[in-house]
Amino acid sequence: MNAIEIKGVSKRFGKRSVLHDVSLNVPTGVVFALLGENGAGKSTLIRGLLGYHRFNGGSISVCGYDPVRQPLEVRRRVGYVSDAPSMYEWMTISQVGWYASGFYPDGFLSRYDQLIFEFQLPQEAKIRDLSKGMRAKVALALAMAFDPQLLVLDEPTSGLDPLVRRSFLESMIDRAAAGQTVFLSSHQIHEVERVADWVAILHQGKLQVVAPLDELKSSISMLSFSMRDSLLALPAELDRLERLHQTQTGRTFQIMARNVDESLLASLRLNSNLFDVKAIRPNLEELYIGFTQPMRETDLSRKESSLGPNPSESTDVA
Amino acid sequence: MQLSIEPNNGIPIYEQLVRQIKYAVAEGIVVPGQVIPSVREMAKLLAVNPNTVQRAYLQLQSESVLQALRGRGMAVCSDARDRCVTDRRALLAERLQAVLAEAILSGLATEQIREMFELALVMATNSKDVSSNDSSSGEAVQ
Amino acid sequence: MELTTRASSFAWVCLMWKELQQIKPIFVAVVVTLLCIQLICGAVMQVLPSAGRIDSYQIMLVVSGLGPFLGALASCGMLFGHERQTGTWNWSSSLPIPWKQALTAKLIASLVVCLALLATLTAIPLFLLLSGPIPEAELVMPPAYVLFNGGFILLELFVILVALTLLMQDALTAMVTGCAILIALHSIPAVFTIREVMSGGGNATLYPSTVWNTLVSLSLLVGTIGMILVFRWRWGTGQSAQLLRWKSSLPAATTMATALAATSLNLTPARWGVAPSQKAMLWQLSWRNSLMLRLAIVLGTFALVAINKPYLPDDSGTALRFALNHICAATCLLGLTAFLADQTRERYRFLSDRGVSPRILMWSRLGPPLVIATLLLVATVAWYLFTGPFPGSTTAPNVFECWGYLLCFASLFLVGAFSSLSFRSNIVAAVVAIVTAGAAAVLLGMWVAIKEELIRISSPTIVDWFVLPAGFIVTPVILFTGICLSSPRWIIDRDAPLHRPYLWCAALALLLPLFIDATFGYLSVPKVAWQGATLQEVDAVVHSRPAIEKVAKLFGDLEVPQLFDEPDSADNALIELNEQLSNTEQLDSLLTGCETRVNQMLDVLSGPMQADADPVAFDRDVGRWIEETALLAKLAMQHGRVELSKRAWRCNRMLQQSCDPITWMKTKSSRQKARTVWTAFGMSEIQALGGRDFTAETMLPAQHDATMGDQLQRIAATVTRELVRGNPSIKEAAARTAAYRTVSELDPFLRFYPPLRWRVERGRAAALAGSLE
Repeated sequence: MNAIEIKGVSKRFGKRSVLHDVSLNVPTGVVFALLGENGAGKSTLIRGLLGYHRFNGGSISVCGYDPVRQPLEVRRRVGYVSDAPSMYEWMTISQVGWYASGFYPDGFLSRYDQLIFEFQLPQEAKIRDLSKGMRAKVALALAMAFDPQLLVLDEPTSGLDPLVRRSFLESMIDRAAAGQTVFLSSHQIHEVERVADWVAILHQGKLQVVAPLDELKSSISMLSFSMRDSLLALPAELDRLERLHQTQTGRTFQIMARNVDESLLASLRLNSNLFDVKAIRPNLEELYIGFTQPMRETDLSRKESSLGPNPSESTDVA
Repeated sequence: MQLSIEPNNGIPIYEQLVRQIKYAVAEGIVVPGQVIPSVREMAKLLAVNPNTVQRAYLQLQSESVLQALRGRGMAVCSDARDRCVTDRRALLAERLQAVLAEAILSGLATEQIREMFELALVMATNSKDVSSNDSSSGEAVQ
Repeated sequence: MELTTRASSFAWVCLMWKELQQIKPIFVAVVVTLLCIQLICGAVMQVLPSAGRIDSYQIMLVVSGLGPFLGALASCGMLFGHERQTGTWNWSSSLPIPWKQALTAKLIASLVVCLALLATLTAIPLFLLLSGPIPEAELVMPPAYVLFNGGFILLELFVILVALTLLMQDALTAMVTGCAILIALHSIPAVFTIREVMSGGGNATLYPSTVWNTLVSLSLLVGTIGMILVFRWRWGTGQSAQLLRWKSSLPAATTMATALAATSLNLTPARWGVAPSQKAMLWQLSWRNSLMLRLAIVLGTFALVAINKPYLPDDSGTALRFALNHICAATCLLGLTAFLADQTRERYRFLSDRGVSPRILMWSRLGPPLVIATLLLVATVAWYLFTGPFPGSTTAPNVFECWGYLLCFASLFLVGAFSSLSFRSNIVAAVVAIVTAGAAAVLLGMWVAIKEELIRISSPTIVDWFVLPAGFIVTPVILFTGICLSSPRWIIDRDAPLHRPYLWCAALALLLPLFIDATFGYLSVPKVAWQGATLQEVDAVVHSRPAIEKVAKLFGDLEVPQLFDEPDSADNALIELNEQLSNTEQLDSLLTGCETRVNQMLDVLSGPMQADADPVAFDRDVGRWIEETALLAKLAMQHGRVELSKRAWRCNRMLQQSCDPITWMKTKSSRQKARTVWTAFGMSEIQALGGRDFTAETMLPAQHDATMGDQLQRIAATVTRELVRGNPSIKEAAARTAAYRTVSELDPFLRFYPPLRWRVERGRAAALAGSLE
């Protein structure tokens, strides 16, 4: 059973369509990262996972339960940390833990106290006196103390200092090591890169890609080369590639594409117009940019110049 | 053991971990029989996914660098040192070849390359002598 | 994973603890304030005479009744609205709490709060009732069905408010709308009933009970179902859905930049090419703040007034006052909207980061609601001016009443504005403003009652109308100063405890005018020369008074035929007298018994006096004895008992002479009857008594009445003045006379506060001068 199964969900606010036909499956025991720009629909998707609103279409199942019909079952198994957790300002840290422990099985309170101790938070401080980072830690402790099957984090470390972020990372890793699932939406691509098993990229309400990170990195290459004569057309082999993104600076091209194999590289190296041909594994940031920035038509077509000089003549120029 | 992982330099994280552990064994920083941190601990230490660490350990185990001790975790195999040294040499050779290939491709003549090589070798030997007192192991690189 | 749920009592404990802790601060504030009002009522009650006492007690009971309503308001606001606004609702619902459990816990907490308020606030009235100061018979207790109805209305209010609070974004808007709906709902049958009563239906009960019962049951049912459904929806999939999107307030600080930019675009006509000033931008933003809520308040007030206008008496003075009272309430609410939600939305910080001066910001926030309130007031007054038979109307408010109303509006507006500045939560601000306004009304009412009692004038003079409101000009000034001083701290320091300055300012604003009125009020009365009697005169009259109280025992059981009741004409009286005198057998036995008693009476009247007598019965008896001795004299004379007759007349004279001022006035009719009896004496009878000398000695001349009256008034005035000054010898003297009875129980307190005493003395001097003319 997958931890989360989303099939074809959409969400509209008035006339604005925020999510469009999103489908993804989150296997159990992985760290699943959802990337996307502000307004891509990540928070909407996550809140829908927890039953905070209905989707306009499709079906959704969290830990085997429908969050709209059986919200209680979902909440018993899912720990949720939102991006601005608002707990009762007048409660102290220990009181918050005691309050929440009433709704979970035994053992919550002892695990909670243990976590608070690990996070080095003062038990008698009131929530209103805490800094943003401490508040986030309390929210995380509350979400983890009942050993949830699924931990959902919605941009938990935005605006927090590196120490707190490190705490969060370690907690996520702990959960993953214990075999539980972590579903995370974040902007911190470097953190995600270290810790994620699976990655999904959401752009303007549509899922661009859902894949394990290693697979993504190994199947996509960043192909770069420079041209001696920029007026000449690009080699025809490039058209066969499944290109995701292409940039050009001066006479240097960078193409992000799938399934760049050795034979292609070899043939490119043989092309006399091209030099410095390289294929490297892109990092997650480059992948992200590649998936979220659309290919522009002008990038694809080169200047059709049938009047271009003969390739053999261009070698004299060099 | 000082390990540092760069997730975005193009080398897979598990690969980086495998190499660094092999280096550590080769240098003698980790001695045969020493228990290395568990998957969970290592993952938390490095802030990387435990599956990645697991993959690295499995690979090291398959190459007989690490062995599983029941109840205590993973330990370095007794004969791992030589293997690691050999692997390291192979890696270095690969890197040298890459540099030389780049040098040739950039248009340098063989003589110029040889000059640069000799100079670099001298500098590296000197700096090794200077730091040899601080180094915990005096194993010479063959 | 082990998923057995815990013993549910533990979950209940957590929930109940959380709900009660949340509502604790506002509960304590409401209880303390209302208890203080009740204690003030109680204290005032001890010093007012019995009529005022009952009124104070009624006010106490009204406060007790009000308690649960405020409790319902507070519960709805804190447990539902506040949670949603601060986001703790979202967090709490992310825990595995079933919605039924959450709702039940909140309902139980609200019930506990209302019951606790009711219990706490009935403690003092109950104690007073049981320990005796209040005679139960004189209490106007509402019949039981009214109490039941009150309970149902409370339930109705609660469910409607909760449903609306959960539906709407802003809790205060929801509560205003809920109250408006409830009032409108209940106005419908009331309108029909009043129309019925006006057209001569004459039914005493306020509502026809069937209509009322149906209405309440229906609205309770609909409201409860609605509340449950909305709660369930909001707890689950409806968390962030925004129905009824009022574009009333700008959402968050981050969008204010856009708003400012947009505003600047709107305000910059291209042809001028001048950037709008900061003030203009702020003004525009302030207008858009809570605009819908303000419009709702204005429309609601108009609706309320319009619904009720045709069913009030045609007299537009009364109708105008009715409308103005509603506008007072609306002004307070409009004041509340001035700084609404600024603190929770952290707008102030956004603005202070941009270097906006606190003064400018404060003015820009106060401006729009003030303009709206003024327009509302002007529109209402204009409407009444054009539709009512002013200015000839006799009940139109006079200049001073208008002045009082103006001060009232200004003060209520500033109370609302100040509380919305000082309290972060809208609900708390609203409740505090309501309680402050209520406390002000109660204090003012108490003060007017005390002053009436002290100064003892039946209706306030023109001067009083002017002085008291003049003192109250301090109230808006203090409140405004408070706002000016608080706003810089408010804009800069997020956690500044602004409720303390509010409490100090409010207390000062309420109590200072009363203090000013008490201290400087005496200056409003012109100083008149004291025309009271001198102390020697008082001594002469008071100390020489015989002990006529002893006479009570002498005539106790004697059956003397009752003389005519009303001496309407002397002839009729004589005829009646002759009729009675013809019953000879009865009279014989009467005369025999009387002789000894008359002798005893003469002895007593010549001797020293006694201190403890019942004043009220005393006056009655003296009148009766004056009549009886006159009658006895006539009877005795008819039967030839001349000596007895003489002695009876002597008694009569001594009784009349020993009257003190009150007794003198109360025995006027008896003295007239005695004079009538005298006129029935024939010339021969008078000769037998002693002729002209006897006449001169016995009957007091007619004009003696007037001079005696004046002298007695002057003596009474002096006695009361000396009592007020605490003169010890007068106390003893006054105990002998009924003048002491005319002193108010408050007068001894005047010794401790000279300015009030001066006021009272001046007032009495003026009253004495007036009555002597």
